[in-house]
Amino acid sequence: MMPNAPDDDEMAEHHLVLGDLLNRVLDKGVVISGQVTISIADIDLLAVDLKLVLASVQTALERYDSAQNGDISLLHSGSRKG
Amino acid sequence: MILAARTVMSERDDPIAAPSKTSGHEAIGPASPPDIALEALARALPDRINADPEHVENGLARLVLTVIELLREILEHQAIRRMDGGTLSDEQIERLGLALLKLNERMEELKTTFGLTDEDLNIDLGPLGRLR
Amino acid sequence: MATYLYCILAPARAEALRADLMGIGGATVRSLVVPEAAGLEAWVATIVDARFRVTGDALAKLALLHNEVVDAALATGRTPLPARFATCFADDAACIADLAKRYAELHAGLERVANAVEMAVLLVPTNGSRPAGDSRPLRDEPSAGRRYLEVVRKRTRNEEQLRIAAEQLAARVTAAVKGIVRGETRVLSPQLLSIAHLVGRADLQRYRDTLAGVTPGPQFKILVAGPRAPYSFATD
Repeated sequence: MMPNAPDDDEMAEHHLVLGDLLNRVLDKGVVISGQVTISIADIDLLAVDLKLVLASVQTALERYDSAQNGDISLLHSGSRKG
Repeated sequence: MILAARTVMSERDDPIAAPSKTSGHEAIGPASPPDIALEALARALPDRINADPEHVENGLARLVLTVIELLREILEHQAIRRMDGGTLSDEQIERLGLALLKLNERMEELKTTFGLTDEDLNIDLGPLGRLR
Repeated sequence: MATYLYCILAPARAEALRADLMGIGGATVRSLVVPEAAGLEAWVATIVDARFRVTGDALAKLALLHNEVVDAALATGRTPLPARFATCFADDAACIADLAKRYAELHAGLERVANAVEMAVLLVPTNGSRPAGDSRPLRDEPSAGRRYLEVVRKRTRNEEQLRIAAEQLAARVTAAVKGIVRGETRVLSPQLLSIAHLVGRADLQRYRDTLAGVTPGPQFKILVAGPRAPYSFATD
């Protein structure tokens, strides 16, 4: 594998450090109530629903694992939690 | 570096849908593959899906492909566990592997069709891997 | 219109927030004092358009702007408690009311981070940020299915081994700085293992010197970044 030029390495490192900082900024900090309500447009609901669907998929996969069943329907969401 | 989109929701919204306020990142320990991948997926979902009619296809494509990519990874992970577990016949292993290989190829085609890279899909790649 | 909260500071003596500090949307940062909360200070700005629902580069830019303001607070010599990105209130009054309500928690947080900064230790694999190109078998080859699974399994195992090595190195880092840091959190991502430390300002040099003595081994390099505001230690 060709070694990177020193500048490339520096840029790569800078990128990693920046990425780490941004991950912390976006994910951490004191959480205070009163955050802005995101307007609930149709598409927003879709995103929310998807998370519920995925939760069902996770449950389905766990059942799959324990049942050692070879068949799994990817998009069967199973029972939605209320 | 891939950045996860964050959804900010008020307390009046559905509590199931609200993102967990304390992310579980601090603890490093064994976690089941679906948990980690789904957490990654939840973070990767774009906050705004462009509803502009001209671009709506692309926005939805990104969303769908993101979901499928992560599910595909979960399935590969599960398939290997089954293979290693010794509960599959040679024929089953071959069928399973082929199905996943085809799925992989199909995903590459779809990504090319929509001009989307893994970065566009907010999927993190790297030598330390994602599922654990 | 909304009041965007950047961070909270302990009651100041005569610290003046410079008049020209701007953040997201070019909005000037202002200082609010919360009298019911023992004079806690909040750095806020009036945001006209709360466009936080973006991804990728746009999100990165906003987060960087947020950090610039929080960093400016850190530069005054006090340690701010960063608010969660995109924390907004209907107006200043709502912000003040909320902060007053949470005084106990905020006070504890400020005590925890007083006179300290956050440092980051990044453990980066030396073998490149992209996994080795896959040698995916062609579909028509015999046993293509099995061989595909074997390729995936090999990659998965390599990832797992590298993770274990990363954890071991992280353990050495933790042990090395144990007496010096006030707190530690770790985040594992596909690209690297990131360790955040809460370090007293007075201990910074000792911290850096100690880290310089940790040998990373051939699989990783160690990057030390900071100081930053204590995002990772803002809550319990």
